Amino acid sequence: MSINNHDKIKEQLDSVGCGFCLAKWTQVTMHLGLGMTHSCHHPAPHKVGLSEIARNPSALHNTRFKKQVRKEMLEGKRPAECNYCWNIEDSSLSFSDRVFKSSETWSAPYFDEIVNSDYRQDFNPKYVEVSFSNTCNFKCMYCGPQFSSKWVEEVEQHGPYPTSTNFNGIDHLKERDEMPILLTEYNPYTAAFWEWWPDLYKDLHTFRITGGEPLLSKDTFKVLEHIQENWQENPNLSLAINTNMGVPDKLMTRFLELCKDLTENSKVRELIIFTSIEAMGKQAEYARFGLNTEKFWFNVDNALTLLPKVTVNVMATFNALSVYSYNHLIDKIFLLKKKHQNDQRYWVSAIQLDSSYLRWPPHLSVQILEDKHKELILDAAKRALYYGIKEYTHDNYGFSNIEIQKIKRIYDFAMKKLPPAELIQRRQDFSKFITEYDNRRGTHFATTFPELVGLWNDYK
Amino acid sequence: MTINKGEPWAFWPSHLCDTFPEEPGNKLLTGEHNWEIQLELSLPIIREDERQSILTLLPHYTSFEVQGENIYLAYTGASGETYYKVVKYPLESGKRYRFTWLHRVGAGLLCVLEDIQLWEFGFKDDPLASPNEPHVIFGAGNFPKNGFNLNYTEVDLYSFKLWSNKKLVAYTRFDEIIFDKAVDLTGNCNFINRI
Repeated sequence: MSINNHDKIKEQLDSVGCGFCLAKWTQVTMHLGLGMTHSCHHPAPHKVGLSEIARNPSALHNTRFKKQVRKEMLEGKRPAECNYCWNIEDSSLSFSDRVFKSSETWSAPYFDEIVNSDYRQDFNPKYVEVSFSNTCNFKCMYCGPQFSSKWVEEVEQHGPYPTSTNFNGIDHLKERDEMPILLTEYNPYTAAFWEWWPDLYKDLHTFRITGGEPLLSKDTFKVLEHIQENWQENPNLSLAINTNMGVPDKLMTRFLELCKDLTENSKVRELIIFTSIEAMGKQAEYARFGLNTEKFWFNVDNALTLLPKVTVNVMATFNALSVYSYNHLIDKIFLLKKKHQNDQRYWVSAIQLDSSYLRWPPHLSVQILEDKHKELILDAAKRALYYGIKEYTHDNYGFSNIEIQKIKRIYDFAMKKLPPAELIQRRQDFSKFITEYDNRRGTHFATTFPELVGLWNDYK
Repeated sequence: MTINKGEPWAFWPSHLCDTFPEEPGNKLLTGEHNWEIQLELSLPIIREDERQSILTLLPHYTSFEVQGENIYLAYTGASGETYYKVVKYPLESGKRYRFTWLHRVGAGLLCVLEDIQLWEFGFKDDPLASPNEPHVIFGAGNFPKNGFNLNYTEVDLYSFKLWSNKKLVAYTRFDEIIFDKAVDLTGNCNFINRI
């Protein structure tokens, strides 16, 4: 989309008010296992009132709280919860996400309808992300109880990790009534979702299922089966599903069968599978506890073989433990791009490597590393560059401009110096975290990451 | 490394990724910088009836070509005018040569073969052009998709070096190839790639 178009969208939004953003209507992420919701990811999620959804299931998105925020926007005000964008707009000439999200095909066409609406009106969102529960068979080191039932079990048994932030403690969640609802318990939010779903489905542009581990939730399969049976109501749906590619074989087989039907018979406009890994071999298994890398790569390869249209997007949360094997991950991704290239993939490439730097928890950030180890990130960016392609088309396989840049900017982020006191604190937290991690889980940091033994010991 | 006839390669490291490498070597090849290219090569065949483009700088057409017993040199100034020079200098097929372009701001472009100065394009009032995305083609006079001035040739390349202000910023011996890219031994990612 051209800059000129963003200019026009901004002008259009500002004609309503300087804080007006269509995403407050058109987009939602619902954490049904927590009973929380937010429109885009920048504002913190807020609790959904049980009495609200009892009267109106679309209150999973159209909460009283959100309607008040919409009122502010329509009245020309800037809601405080959206200050991520105000910070950008006040400090630069750059467009904020308010403009980008309002420019999307799932937002822009609804401008008139939204502007002419009453703030109390319900609005069916067009871009929906849902997490049915936090049930997960992994407990990745940078995750936490809200997104992993395995983490809940560990913390209830052993307490928080002894870092300066009491990492992954759950007392505050209990105090705020934000503890995840168990999959085995009745969940009124999930019930409300299913009541709303028939009406919601037909209006959707994009639907994404996240977790926990979505394939461990019956609701995920219920959604897929509903789409399979009722696809004529919405044949243009963009569907996306997250999975750790580590679930029992029976579930993976069923999942792939459903995907095959949806894609081969054009029951959706596109289907993208999102998964995660950010290292290779034993180092990957250390950080993503529960992962079996042999099974992971088998499942990825198998999915790409059985589903010739689907693109697998690998979300790599690049952290301090990623640097030593990221080159090998790049090599692996390249080979899969080559093997599975065809002219049908929804997102052109069979598999994409989407590299983002980890910010939380700070003790696992690449910024704790010594410079000699940070240089390995630059090596990885160079490797991706050598595997690069000029034109991202179905005729080519290789790394795209964006895939390469994302790795390079992790290096740039890593090289930003932290204040000395903060660096020391983070390294101390890292050391304490790793020691406790090994004690609780029976892992062995020293043999898995010999490169970092010095750092670990120095800050014990 | 052998470039087959009709399968040219290019030095254009900035064209893959918008922001990396941060200082791509090809962007130096303008009238605004001091730079030197040194290419070691041999021609398996020398043809009497066909122009053979060994090295071409684009889009400001500046080239080193051979036909029969003659060497053809070209240079394009900032005015857009292209200047030509023919030098009678028979090359031997299969023999290894070192060709150098030496550019000094304000002093023009010197073309040297081994230690013999073939020609100097020294136009004070028409310096070498400075386009945004300069790039070099090996084994052709143009990109195949453009369909003109192609002058394909086979050529054996042994090494490519690029200096900027006497600092070596690109160096390949063409003996390490990753995904159709000859690796830059300086670590600057100034690779040469198959088109």
